[in-house]
Amino acid sequence: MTIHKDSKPEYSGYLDKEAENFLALSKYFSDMLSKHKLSDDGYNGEFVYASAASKNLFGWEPYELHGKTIFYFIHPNDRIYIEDCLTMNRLLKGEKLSYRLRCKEGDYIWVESTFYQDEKKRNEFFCITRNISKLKLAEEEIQDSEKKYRLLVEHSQDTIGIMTFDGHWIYINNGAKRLFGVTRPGEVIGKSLFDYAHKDDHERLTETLSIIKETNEPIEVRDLSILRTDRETRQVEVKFIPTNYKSSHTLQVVMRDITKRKKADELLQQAEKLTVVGQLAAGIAHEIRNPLTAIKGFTQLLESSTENRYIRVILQELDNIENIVSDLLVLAKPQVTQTEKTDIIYLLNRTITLLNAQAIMKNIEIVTDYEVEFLEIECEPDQLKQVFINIIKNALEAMENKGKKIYIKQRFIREDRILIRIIDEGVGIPQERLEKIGEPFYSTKEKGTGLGLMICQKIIQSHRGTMKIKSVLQKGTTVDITLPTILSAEDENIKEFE
Amino acid sequence: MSACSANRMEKLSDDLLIESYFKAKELELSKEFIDLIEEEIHRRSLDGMVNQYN
Repeated sequence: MTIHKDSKPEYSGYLDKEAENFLALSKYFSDMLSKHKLSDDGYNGEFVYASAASKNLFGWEPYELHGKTIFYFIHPNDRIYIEDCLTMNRLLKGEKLSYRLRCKEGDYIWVESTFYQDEKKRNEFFCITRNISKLKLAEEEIQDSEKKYRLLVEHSQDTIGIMTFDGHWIYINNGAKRLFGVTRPGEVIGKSLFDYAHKDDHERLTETLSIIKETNEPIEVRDLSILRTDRETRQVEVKFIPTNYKSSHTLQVVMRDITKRKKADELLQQAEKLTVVGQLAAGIAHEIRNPLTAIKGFTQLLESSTENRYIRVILQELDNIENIVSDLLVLAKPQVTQTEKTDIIYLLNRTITLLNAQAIMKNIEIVTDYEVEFLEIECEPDQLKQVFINIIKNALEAMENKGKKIYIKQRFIREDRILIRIIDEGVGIPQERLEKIGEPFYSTKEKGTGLGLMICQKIIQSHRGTMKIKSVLQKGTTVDITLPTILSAEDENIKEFE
Repeated sequence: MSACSANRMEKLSDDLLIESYFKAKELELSKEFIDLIEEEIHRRSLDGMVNQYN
């Protein structure tokens, strides 16, 4: 206490010998010991004594603190709380409170004080104060980083969770909603991954989990099928990472939905197939065209000079071949080359007139329903006409029962995009065949080549449109074609598939 | 393509070729067919014979 004696000898004068010895040692403590008055109305907290550690703790010499109330140094935001705690009029028996204390230089540090009171002397209290700024900072950092990681995990595009080695979810993020089709992640917790995985994948999963248990190495599983609660299927890529969660051995699981990517891949492959087959077919068609012209020409010459009953048949079949060859050549046309503004309604009506004779013969009515009477779109009219002919012809051929109808509708989807829907009440197409439609040389019809719809697809694609076919067996088929009204070169998203 | 079509019609005699040409024209057969024959006539330098009658 030499410092104090030098400066303010009377300061610790009233303490007895033993206490003085103890207090002499207290200057080596890093924690500050202090004694405060507590007035009857509770408020006061005036420093009666402060150990030398006060200088290190918050810059004030003990004598500077003497006579000042402790509340003066407490951060305004913490002051009321500390006051309340100290003046609740009950004995302080080592209450630990943390608050901010103002240093001599004006900055604040986080401290934790332990408060004591002697039962006989209710008008004073002792206090041991320690600097917890570093702790507090570290705590804040931990909280911050936890918040950060939680945010990252919760809002991740992937589904991230923690699961036991037998596949039960302990934790899962919001991605679960999208992937499993649940309304909140809590629904999944407690359930097993096996409840959602397709049963064909169960064996593979079990195997994977046991391997991880043995090796303790992360493993990635590709092409896992997840059955959602709404019975949809999703393709996922899963990564299992062995980890510790709440001191038990668990697995961190990251699942990525690759359904869309796979679909895009398939589309791309399909488009590629179309291109390759188209080129091949066109090449062949080109080679065949000249000999075919010669055969047909000479057969016609033969017909004119001799009387032969077979020649008719030969010529008819040659016509068939010629049609196929010209179909194939359409495939090779890579892009829409010459577009013109054409009234699509007029085009549709002309196509219907062309096929009406066939429809009337089968007693089928073609019903039209257009949103507008005149609609100019930028297109290659002959190509689009061929699409309509192909589709309506298919519709006519699908309907054996007489008295049915074909509906042709036109609607606007957006300002610059139209929908043309052709509905028939025919036999429909089985699901497994529907998936293959548009592939060359695949036909549901006995006489078809499978080229018709492939050509349609190609033409619609080159017009930056889409063509979708829905079908219900014995109920009929619906073909939806969407087309842009203006063929702008900037429309990138469809270009990708070309 | 011209090499191919030449092979195809090689077997026809000049007379038959010319005859075929006029018959095809008379029967109004497809332009492509007539083009093929014309090509062969030209290859054999028989143009004069055709023009003579035209």
